[in-house]
Amino acid sequence: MSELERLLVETAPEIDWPVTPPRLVLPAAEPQRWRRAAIVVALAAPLAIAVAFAVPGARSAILRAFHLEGATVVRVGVLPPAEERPLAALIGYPVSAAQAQQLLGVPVVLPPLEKRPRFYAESGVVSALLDLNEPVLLSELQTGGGDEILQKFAGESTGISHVRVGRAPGLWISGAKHVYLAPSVPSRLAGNVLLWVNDGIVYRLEGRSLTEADALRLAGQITGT
Amino acid sequence: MEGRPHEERELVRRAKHGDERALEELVRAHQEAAFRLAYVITGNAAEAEEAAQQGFIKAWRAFGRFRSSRPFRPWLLRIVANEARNRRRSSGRHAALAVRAAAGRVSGDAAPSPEDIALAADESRRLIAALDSLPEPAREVLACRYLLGLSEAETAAALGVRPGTVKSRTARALEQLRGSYE
Repeated sequence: MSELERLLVETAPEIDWPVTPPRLVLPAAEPQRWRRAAIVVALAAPLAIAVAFAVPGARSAILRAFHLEGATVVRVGVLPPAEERPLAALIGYPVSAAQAQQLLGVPVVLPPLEKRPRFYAESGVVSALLDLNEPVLLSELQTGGGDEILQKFAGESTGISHVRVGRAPGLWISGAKHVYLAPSVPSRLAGNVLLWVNDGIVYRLEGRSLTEADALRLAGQITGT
Repeated sequence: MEGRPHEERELVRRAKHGDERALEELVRAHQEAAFRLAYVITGNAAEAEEAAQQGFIKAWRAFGRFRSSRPFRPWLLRIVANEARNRRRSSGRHAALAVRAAAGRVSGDAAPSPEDIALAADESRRLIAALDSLPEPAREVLACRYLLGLSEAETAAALGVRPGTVKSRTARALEQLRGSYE
């Protein structure tokens, strides 16, 4: 360091800086696009996987990218590592109904239940564990306009079929488990999943032994048949 | 990620999980550096506050695109610096940096006399005045490196240039300062 550089460094503490404002605040109450983007990824990934399986010729491709709602799914012959964990694990922190509504922009809708479940939020995804014959995880998120590109991976042996929930398009993913990549949490293997999009909200129902008929019935109760 | 404090990695991880307090903590840790950087660029405390505030909001909204493997501070400083440059372009001015009235670095072990302190303070003021007289790119790179203590990488992010440019620009700026100060 030269003498001049040393002088500059020694002078630094003597600069009369204006006082740093004590509270430069973050917009906690504002909509957070990064969270919405993360949500889109989390729930669009299985949707993209479904599309990948539905595209003729995709099964023979070792690597192929599919884009949907801002997410990219790369089709691979072998699924990436993913862990098994309970449906309710790592679904976020408890939030009130009002906070959940703030995240979604609309109230969280539920099927008729004897007791309202608790809501959880994780990277913008609002989830609730429905206490039915078997636990069913309901997740809801804004579609978000697809403002972020992310990559996901899908294998070849999961059954995918197009379904309708009322007029809303959906996908039923069943059979062999697929990899669910939620933002910033370890990937996990997902069971049977129904995805559908209605009025700017992506809905996701997942259960280990959830049947297509039960999933569609629940979905109809949530967004109407 | 190498060299990053474990605490920052943990905060980033929590923030990526949607923990708003973690993101707020991350931003607050670098609030002073961000504000002073904005002040160096805008030369106006009110504009610097606006730039820092707006930069934090943009960082908040863009956090989904922040790559966890990268250090957080350069990313935040780049956003705030961009905001500050936009404000400088619209306001079109910069104010001089100032040295505190009671300042005066004095070397040596002996207790400095009032005359020593006064001389040292004069020297500091002269140095900062010389720095302020430099063209904007030279002034900014020296302020970032030596007054704010930013690393080359952080300075590069703040000024929107490559690290190699920071190195060469710093060398040229020091020569200009030497000519102006000595």
